[in-house]
This record gives sequence, structure tokens and C-alpha cells, in this order.
Amino acid sequence: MEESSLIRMAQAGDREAFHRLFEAYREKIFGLAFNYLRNVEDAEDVLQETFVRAYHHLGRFNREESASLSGWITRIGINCCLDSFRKNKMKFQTAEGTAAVDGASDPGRDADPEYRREIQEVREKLAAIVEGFPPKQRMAFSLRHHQDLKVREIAATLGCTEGAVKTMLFRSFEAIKKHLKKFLGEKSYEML
Amino acid sequence: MKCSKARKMMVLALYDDLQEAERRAFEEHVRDCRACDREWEESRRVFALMKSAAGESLPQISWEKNWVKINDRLPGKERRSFGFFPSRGWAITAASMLFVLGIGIWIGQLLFFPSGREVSSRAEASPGSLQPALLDHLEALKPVVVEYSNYSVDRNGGDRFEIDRALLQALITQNQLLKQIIAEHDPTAAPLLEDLDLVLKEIAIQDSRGRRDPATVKEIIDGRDIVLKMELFKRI
Repeated sequence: MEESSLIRMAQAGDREAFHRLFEAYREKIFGLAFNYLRNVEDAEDVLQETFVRAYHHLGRFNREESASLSGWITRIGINCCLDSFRKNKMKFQTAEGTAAVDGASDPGRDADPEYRREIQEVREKLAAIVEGFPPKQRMAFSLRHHQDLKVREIAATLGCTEGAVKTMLFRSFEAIKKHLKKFLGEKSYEML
Repeated sequence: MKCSKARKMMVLALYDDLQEAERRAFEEHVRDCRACDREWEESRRVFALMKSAAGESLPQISWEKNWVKINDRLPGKERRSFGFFPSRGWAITAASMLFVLGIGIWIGQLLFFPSGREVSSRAEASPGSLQPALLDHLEALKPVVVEYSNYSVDRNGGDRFEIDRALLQALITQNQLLKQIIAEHDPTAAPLLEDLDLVLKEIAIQDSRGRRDPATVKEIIDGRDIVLKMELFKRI
């Protein structure tokens, strides 16, 4: 069934149609929240809050015929992430304390425990660097790095100029480079 | 192209987020500039490392459990027939409250806050008109919030922030009334109105003590991302 039909039905109170929309966007929103907050419980709270708000405001979405549901629901998700971030004030957890699962960037080396340990170390290092970014910059980086949004899309989502987004991404990458360069020097990685 | 510009473009080049002409100019510069070429090589190594680490899968969670929690928080189907309100009882209660509040607003504004009448008088008309009233309220607040958010000691050079006392009082009253009326029906608006309440009260406190410290107000606005949230709220 087409998304527009599901939206109309969900707006009319059809809970099953809204459930289908939830199924379509749950991973996107949970991914956004987890990558931003790095905490499973907080990310689940954001997932729930986003869809509750989406349900309440579905009528308003319909009035904007040209808007995509994906962008609209992402904006609600971002708002929920910022609220959660403010409430919890960096209740940050690295992947060690969460149920994060290693992805297989190189299946051949995945079996190598040393490689896995080092990748995990990079992951934690990267998460710690991003933790220090201001909230908006952190969101811009997360949308670019994890959600694969273009600069233009990030600007539209965050309501700022493309120039501002470029500056935030530049600052983010410079900070990451500065820290990971040291790390690269220490480890003399073979993985590259 | 200058080296500084090329350095700024590197992150976008890594994400393949440059326009065709920009990409050509960037590649040309890196080809001809040894320092930027070295920097580019280093950036690519760091980026590769970031990408290796980005292979992290999302944690496994129970989608069903989350759906059940969401579903529990949604109003029932039959209750949607009353539109904005979950049931007839709620609609009557809200209408009564709106009526009482409307009278209060009207009397209050007539006596004390003539400048705030136009916007909040729309809030008392009907539940359907609350949303436009809220958007109007945010529009009215935007210049104040943005001005404080843009404050910098270097640029502003001290206390040059003046806000009409009657206008400030009107904005505070409007904000509080909207907070009371809208908050329970609109979970998105409640935290934003709370934040705005804090900002307005801080301005009012400073004003009453005869001192102005725009940096404190700016800190609240920036710390809570209020400008961004106002912008996002308009777009949702």
C-alpha cells in the first residue's frame, strides 16, 4: 500500500496503518537517536516519543503536500533527541556498556580478535570526541556521517544555512582528525 | 583556489558532497599543492579509519515492545471523533476552561497589557485556533530571542539591550497562558514554552533589578537550543 494512503488512514485513526508507518521508519529514527545519544534506553525513549508526537501531529503533515514523511518525522526525531540530550546532560555510554554489535567492515578480518578489539577502540575514541561537540554540531555530524544526508538536506532539516553546516562539518572533522592522527601514530594500523 | 578553502572542502570531498565544479577545482588544487596533497592523504586515512569504525550495527531492541508502549500512549480510535480532544468530557472541560481563561485574558489585557491582545485573543476562540496563536506567539518572540542569541561582547560592546517593559509583560503573560492551554494537548510545544518562560523571566528579573546581562540570557537560549527548536517547531 502506498505511503500516502497509509497516512490518510492513520490520520483517520487506523492504528494498523500507523503501525505500518512505524515499521517503515522505526530503524531510521532509532539509528538517529542511538548514534546521537549513544545509549539504548534513551534512544528507545526518543523512538517512542517521536512516534507519539508524529501521531498527534499527523493532521498538520497532510496540509504540507510537498513535504516528505521521512524528512518530517526525522525533524520530530531531532527535536526529541535534543530534548533528551538536554534532560540527560550527557548520560553518555560507549559501546561497551550498550548492546552495540560489531559490524563486519571486513569479513575476512572480523574473526581476528585483535582487529576487532582495535576497531572497538577506534569506535569508543570517536564516540568520545563527538561527545564533546556542541549539540547542534553533533547533530549535523550525526546526520552526515550516520544518516548519510547531504549538506543541503542537513541545512533544511536543522533550519540553518548550508554555509553553517559546512563549517560545523569542517570543525567536526578537524577535531576528529586531530585526535585520530595521534591514535594512528600510536597504533600504526595495518587496517588501512 | 586558496589552501584554506581547499582544507575546508576536504571533509565534503570525503563524503562526496561537492558540486561538480567544486570537485574539479579541489582536485586540481590538491594535484598542484604538495602541502594540501599531504593533508588530503592524511584526511583520507583518518576517514578510512572512521568508516571502519562506522560498521557498527545498531543494538538489537524489541520493536514490538516499543510499539506497545507507543500504542498505550495514543488516544483510542473512538475518542478521535472529537477531533482535538480525546473524549466529549474532555472537550466540554476544555471549552469551559478556555471560556474562563478567555475572560481572564480579555480583562487582564484590557487593564494591563494592551500590546499583547492581538495574539492571545486568538487563543481563546477555539481549540482549532490554538496552533496559529502559538505560531504567532513564536513569531512575536523570535526577534527578542534571536537578538539575545546573537549577542557578543565584542560586537555589542556592553548593555545595549532595551525591551519595552509592557511588551515584556505581555509576552510573559501570553507565554504562560499558552503554556497552560496548549501544553497538555501538544507534547511538542510544552518543553519549548517552558524554555521560553525561563528566558522571559530571566530578562524580567534583570530588568527589575536595573541590570542587564545579555550573556546570561544568551547562555540559556544557546544551552537549550531554543532558536533551533523554534525553527523546527514551525516546520513540523
